Amino acid sequence: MNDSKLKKDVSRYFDDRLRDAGPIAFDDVVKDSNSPRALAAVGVAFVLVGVTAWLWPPQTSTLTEELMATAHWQSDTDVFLDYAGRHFLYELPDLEIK
Amino acid sequence: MLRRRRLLRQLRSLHTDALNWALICCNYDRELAEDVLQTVYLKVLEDKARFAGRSMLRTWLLGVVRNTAREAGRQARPLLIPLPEEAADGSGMPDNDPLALAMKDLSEMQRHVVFLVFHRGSTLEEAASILGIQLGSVRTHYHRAKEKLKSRLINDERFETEERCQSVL
Repeated sequence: MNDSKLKKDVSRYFDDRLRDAGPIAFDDVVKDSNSPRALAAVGVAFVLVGVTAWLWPPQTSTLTEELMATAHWQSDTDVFLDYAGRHFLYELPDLEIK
Repeated sequence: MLRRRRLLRQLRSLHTDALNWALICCNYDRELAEDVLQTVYLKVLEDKARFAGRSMLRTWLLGVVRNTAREAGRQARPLLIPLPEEAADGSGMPDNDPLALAMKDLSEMQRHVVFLVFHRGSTLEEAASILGIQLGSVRTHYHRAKEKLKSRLINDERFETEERCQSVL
């Protein structure tokens, strides 16, 4: 038996066996390998955002706090009135005019 | 991101070769082969296995598949109890197929060399690189495998011829 006949027979043998095993699509393998990683990444992101928000809650200032910061009640009445006038239409701050 | 896309393209183009080799390394266990492939692709995409350019990309990838299949096989071994009727190459081939019987006589390494050289058309150097053994060892396995197969197939042909002659007489 010569090498080329042997090679042909052996190739046919492997072709038959591999065909019997059936194909596995590339996208199925890669998709499956990506899904757990993607889920894990989303989960980690959620946890990080939650922990960050708990440790450093966002600072929201009220208009009152802004006015208190920007206006000097006793000495800068004009500044206060100007500021309050601009914002009065949008919000009714809980101010005490001293 | 661009690198990942390029890697995915390359892996896709080599998928058929990688799959066939994974099936050979996993004794045609489709589930195990799929797990092995998934592990290999993850290793490549996550940079845990990086192509250094010392060989062709296909040769390197098939080497990674083989190493991963061996690790998977070692991990799975305690659960695998080979049954007496199971073929040495994990096949369900009929026992009277001469080539299947001849392949059973080969060692695992000889079968792998024969697959790479005869079926995939790899050179002996490529086969050595994929299998992670010396070129001299690959040559030895290759020649011994060829001799075993030829001897077995020639004997089977002689036996069949004798049987036919006897039945005629």
